Amino acid sequence: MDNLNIDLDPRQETRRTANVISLMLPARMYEFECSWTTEQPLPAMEEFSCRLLLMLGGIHPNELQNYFGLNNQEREVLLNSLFEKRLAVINTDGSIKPSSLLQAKSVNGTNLVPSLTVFEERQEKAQFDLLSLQLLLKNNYSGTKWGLPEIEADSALMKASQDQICEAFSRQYRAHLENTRASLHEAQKTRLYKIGQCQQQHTLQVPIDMVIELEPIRDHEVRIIRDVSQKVGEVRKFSLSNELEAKIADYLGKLKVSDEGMSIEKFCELFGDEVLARYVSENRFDLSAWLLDRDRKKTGYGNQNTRALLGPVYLKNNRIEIERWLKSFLAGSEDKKVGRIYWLPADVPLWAASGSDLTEFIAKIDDVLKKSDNSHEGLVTLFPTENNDDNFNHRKKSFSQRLPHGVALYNASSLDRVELMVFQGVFAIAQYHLQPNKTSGITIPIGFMTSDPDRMDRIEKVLKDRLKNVSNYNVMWSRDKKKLDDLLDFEYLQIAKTNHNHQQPQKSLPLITYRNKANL
Amino acid sequence: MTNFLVKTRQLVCGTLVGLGQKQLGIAETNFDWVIVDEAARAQASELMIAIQSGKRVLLVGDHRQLPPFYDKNHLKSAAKRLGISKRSIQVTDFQRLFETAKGVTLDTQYRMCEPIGDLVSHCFYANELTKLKTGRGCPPDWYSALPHPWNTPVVWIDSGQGESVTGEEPSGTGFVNHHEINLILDCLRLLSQSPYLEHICESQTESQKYVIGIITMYRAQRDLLDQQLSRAEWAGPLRCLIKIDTVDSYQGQENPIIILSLVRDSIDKQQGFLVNEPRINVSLSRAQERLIIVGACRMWQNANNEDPLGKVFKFVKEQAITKKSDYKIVDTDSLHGEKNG
Repeated sequence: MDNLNIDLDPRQETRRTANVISLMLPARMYEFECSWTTEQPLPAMEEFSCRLLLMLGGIHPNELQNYFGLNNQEREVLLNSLFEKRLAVINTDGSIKPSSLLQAKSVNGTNLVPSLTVFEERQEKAQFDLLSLQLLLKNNYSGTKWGLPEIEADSALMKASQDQICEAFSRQYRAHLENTRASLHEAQKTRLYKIGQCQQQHTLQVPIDMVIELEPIRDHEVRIIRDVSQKVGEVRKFSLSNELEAKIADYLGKLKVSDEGMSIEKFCELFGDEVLARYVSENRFDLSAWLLDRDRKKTGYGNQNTRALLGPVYLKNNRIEIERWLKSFLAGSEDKKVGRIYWLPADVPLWAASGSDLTEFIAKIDDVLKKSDNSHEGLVTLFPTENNDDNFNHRKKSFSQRLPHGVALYNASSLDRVELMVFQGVFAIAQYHLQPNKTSGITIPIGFMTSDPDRMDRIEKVLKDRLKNVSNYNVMWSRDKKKLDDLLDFEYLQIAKTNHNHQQPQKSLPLITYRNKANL
Repeated sequence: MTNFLVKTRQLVCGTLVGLGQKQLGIAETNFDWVIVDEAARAQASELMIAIQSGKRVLLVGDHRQLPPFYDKNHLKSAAKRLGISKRSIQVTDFQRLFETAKGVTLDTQYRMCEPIGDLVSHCFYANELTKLKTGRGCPPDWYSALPHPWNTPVVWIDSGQGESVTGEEPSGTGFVNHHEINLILDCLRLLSQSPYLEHICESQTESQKYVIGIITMYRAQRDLLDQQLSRAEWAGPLRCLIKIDTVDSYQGQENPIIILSLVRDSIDKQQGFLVNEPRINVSLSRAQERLIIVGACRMWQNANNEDPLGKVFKFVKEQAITKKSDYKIVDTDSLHGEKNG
């Protein structure tokens, strides 16, 4: 028998969340004039009258009156209602019997009393993605969606005909009902009878969060599980169609991750990461083995001052840990203050591509900082920039609504797969972006956070080294209109304090509003 | 007008039921020949609609492939009313005619390359033919240059081994097998990264829309595989070349490459409807150039040997020793992936 060169090892499988990436799906809102039929239960007295009619085959109106204890007028109203709904018919002898409609509806047993079918016309608004015409839910996205990566709309679907849209709605109206009706019961009892008209409205971008999980399956191999679903309430999930999933996968497949810059081997060497170094061989990182060892608590750094970090800093568990470290530092004394916080990004396509988690990270860190220092400026992101850099406006558009401050640093070293975050004087984080699957633009940051003075020193040294050639700088954006002096500690960063009114690139920055997404 | 056309044309085509429309007047028309294709899939008495109008009748079909579909309740009710067994209703008119009129079995097939044709011939037609001949050439040369295991015409990948064996899992009224799905995805990923991907894409034609067919024995497996493949970023170049469906929807179709997911892998070696010979015959004989069977060997290795898949496994295993370039059994639970870095 042939073998496929796999060393099999009966190890336990484990799965870890390694990233949450937010994307914007192109969509368009449509308004439909719909006719619905809804089954409603009959009023109790009518229902019981029907049961009696079916059980006895016929009954005199007076017997019905006596059974319910009705007066003459009430009896007449009840009878008229049964006749109007075509549930009963009158015999020549004056008694009433079940109508053929009632008999037909209760053909499966007398316990199944017919319900009332109500016809209703109403306008419905529904949004469909412009990649596969799947109905997307109107969800209350908790994060900031401005600047998130956008998938380009399918040009053919931008011009989708009314018939195509009506067909898509009639195929998916159940999901629409479940999302718009007060109860699941009501949704289940409602059926689409007819679509009268469909009107195309504005285009929009719908954010989705994509959870990336890693599952080691054997030595050297890791399976990436991607779950893109919209949440409906607290429990239910609305899965995306296979066609839409495929469009998202194709988008991710087209993103290129550069191999330029520091290697994982060099990363371990430079930052003195002896734990990650154990899993590096021939400049490849064995993520699978690391995950399995992490599950067995074998990836520790030997003390509480340094701990491994998988996934971006804003991932829930990482954020909680960072908050804890900050709180613990500040708890020592009321006079303690956290210095400035610098974030040096990695050059990967989906860096900080997060709506909800990143928003929460910024807010929570701010909360902790402001408790001890109300004027703390928060996180400052440093963007190495070149003169006439095409990325300048793109970065500003991508991050200005999601990160509090952005500073452009001219002539700094180019970004690569290394990401640094320094809480000046408290602790620091160094991560390397692994690309577990070469055919996907998804990267997984891995590294450590440390308050160990030696390790911190190494991280700070790399940060300063990368900024050592900075000649000019300016504020790309600032949440509170802070000045450079507020955002940068020139002495600490060892940047010469000159020319700090560098002219920003003159390309006009489009105003980001949801309204002008209409020109998608 | 239609009636006029039916009575005056040299060639009239239609479906068995469609031709029965009264306005066509088929019953009053006399044709020199009536030819019925896929006649073994005609339900009881359906053939009569067409053959009543022919002086001579030629029925073309294969009763060793999937029979016509009958609703279980209808079958039960018909058997009760007629006082005969369900089995005798299931025997098709085609089969009866074939056996009584001593029908002719064609001995040359043109769809499958020789190793696949030999497998089908040995396992399903051995009683009637010494060997089903192959009337077509070898696959194009580039097939041999594909990465392992694609470089072999017939491969059985053993899904019942390794650490991540999950075996079958019930899903609704059927079963799924996650391990087989992962194996299939690994195989396809290898293909998507092959330098010969271009050739695979070029095999797509107007009449051959899908180059790769994936046949699953259960609908739940098809749905899960479809979902997983949709989520695969590497699948972009292959996506439009792949068709996934159940065996019951596959009769009459063919693809250059077929992957068959058997799904069943139970501790008590229960095969379910995989014991059904026509079903297995159809699923294997859809492949033209490459056939990859993904299934747990243990299900048919020491048990169920006399059943259709037992015979298939035995044949592939024997041939893998003597004809290594044509047959292979791969005893791993996955195909190797990339390391990170």
